Amino acid sequence: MNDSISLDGLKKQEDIAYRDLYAVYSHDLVRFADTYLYDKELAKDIVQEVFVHIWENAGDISISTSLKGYLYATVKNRCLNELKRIKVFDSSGLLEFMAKVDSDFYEDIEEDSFKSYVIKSVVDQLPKKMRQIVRMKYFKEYSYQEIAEELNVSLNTVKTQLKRAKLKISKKLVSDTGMRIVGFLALVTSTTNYFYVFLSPLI
Amino acid sequence: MIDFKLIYKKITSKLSLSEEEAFRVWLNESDSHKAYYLKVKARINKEKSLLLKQRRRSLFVKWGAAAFFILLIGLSGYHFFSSQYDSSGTLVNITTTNEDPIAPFNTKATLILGDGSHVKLDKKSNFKNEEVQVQEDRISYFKDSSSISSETLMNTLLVPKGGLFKLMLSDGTQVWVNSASQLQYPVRFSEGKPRKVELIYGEAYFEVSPSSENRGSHFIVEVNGQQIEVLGTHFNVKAYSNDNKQVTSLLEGSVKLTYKGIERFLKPNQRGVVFKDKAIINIESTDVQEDVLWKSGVFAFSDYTLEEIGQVLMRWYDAEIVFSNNDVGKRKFSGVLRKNQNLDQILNILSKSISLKYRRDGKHIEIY
Repeated sequence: MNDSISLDGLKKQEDIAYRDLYAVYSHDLVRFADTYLYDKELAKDIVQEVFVHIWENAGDISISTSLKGYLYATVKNRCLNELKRIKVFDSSGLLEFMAKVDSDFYEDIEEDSFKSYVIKSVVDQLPKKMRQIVRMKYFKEYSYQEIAEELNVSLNTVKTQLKRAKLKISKKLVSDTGMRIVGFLALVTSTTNYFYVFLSPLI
Repeated sequence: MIDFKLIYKKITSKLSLSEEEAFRVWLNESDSHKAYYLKVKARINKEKSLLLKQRRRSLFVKWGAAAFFILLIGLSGYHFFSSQYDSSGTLVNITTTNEDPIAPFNTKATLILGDGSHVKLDKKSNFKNEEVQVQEDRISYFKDSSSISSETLMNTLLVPKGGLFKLMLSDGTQVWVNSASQLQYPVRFSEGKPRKVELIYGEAYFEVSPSSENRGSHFIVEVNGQQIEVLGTHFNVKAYSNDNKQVTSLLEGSVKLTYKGIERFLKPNQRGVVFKDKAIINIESTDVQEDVLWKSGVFAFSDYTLEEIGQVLMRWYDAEIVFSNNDVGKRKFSGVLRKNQNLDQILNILSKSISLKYRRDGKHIEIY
């Protein structure tokens, strides 16, 4: 996606740029939010709000990285805020991991190497084909389509493999051995999450 | 405060004792916490069962079949509605029918007083006499009513389909009475005797005021020949006349069930099931939270067959639901649905989630 054109158009509040942005990202963003909230309707609301916010404040938003990264980060922060209202936190990063597998979640910077380390060690134990797909999706930020093309398999194979992997990895992450490492790391990582929670009202 | 990991672990494996403790504290803090937990649970179980099915299929059929299931995954899992957030968002699009939507009944009930007179109650009712006060959908009996009569006057609360009433008895016990239910109880409990109420039919959730605050008097619920005896606890009783079983779900404390000469004790998170034609009490250990979600304005279905769901819906909506054949009725669904929607919206969500079809002719609905 050509982010820069879209962003320029937005700054001038051009309808078309806005519609393009919505058409390209809204569907996956809803799916992304839904993995946090387990509530499709609420997920839709949150994504709507983010788009309205961008529309109204396009001129004032400064995006240091990519528009895509900005969108996902904003939606994620709003979801974490919603969860905070029902006292649910993602200190272990399990939700984030699941959201990443389920959507085209995109981050500009590898923000948390500790969490990734735990997940990497679990990923290493997966069967070969599954491992390959998870690595591409999770660590290399490939989209579903890109993985399918690269490995010359169908899109459905990629999706199925990822869903199975998600189940396997999540189970390992909450199992007792996984817990010990994650539990230790939670101390470190929870600081990051609080940071998000505090920041998000500003976004 | 809880890490999502614990919620996930609760659903997929087993929590340690201290984790279980932390989980319970969080869960019991609010109905919105319970609603979230159930939504996560329903989704995860659905994803798991879909993957299993998919694996089995793929042994026979190639990727064409897999694609079909992926489509199913895509279509399903999206029927979860929040009860805790007042989302102004649009509902799942509604099939356009020319017919009037079937809305939930209005909350109405009838209170039958000791002298046999009937008092009709609705959302705006305001009624008061020496023993009792009714405000909106809540009835309270006074602890120390001035009219001290030697005989115990019985009152009856009749909640019709679509209704839901909250009642506070004179001993401080709180009872939520579900739709299509009838409960009979004394205006005042006689001192020194067990406190007895009778659920004539239907469903009710009790938060019983402890015996220690009532001079040691036990609290007894009678249901169709079954007795539930408690000391002070939270539990739910479901005994609809068209169900062939009666279910007692215990959330806190301890209760004793007596049925056809058999006695069994329940521990928290157990269900005692009694079948109308057999002299046995089955005990199931399970998560009973979902059994009491009805009092927070949602239908919670965890692995329910469509037949069971049809029964629940017919108690809330003025409609008749039939199945074209038994196979359809045996299909299962899990999810949490808001009760304040009309029946067409509910059926729509169901039909999208498990790809069924329905025909509606006035108040007659056929699922096929």
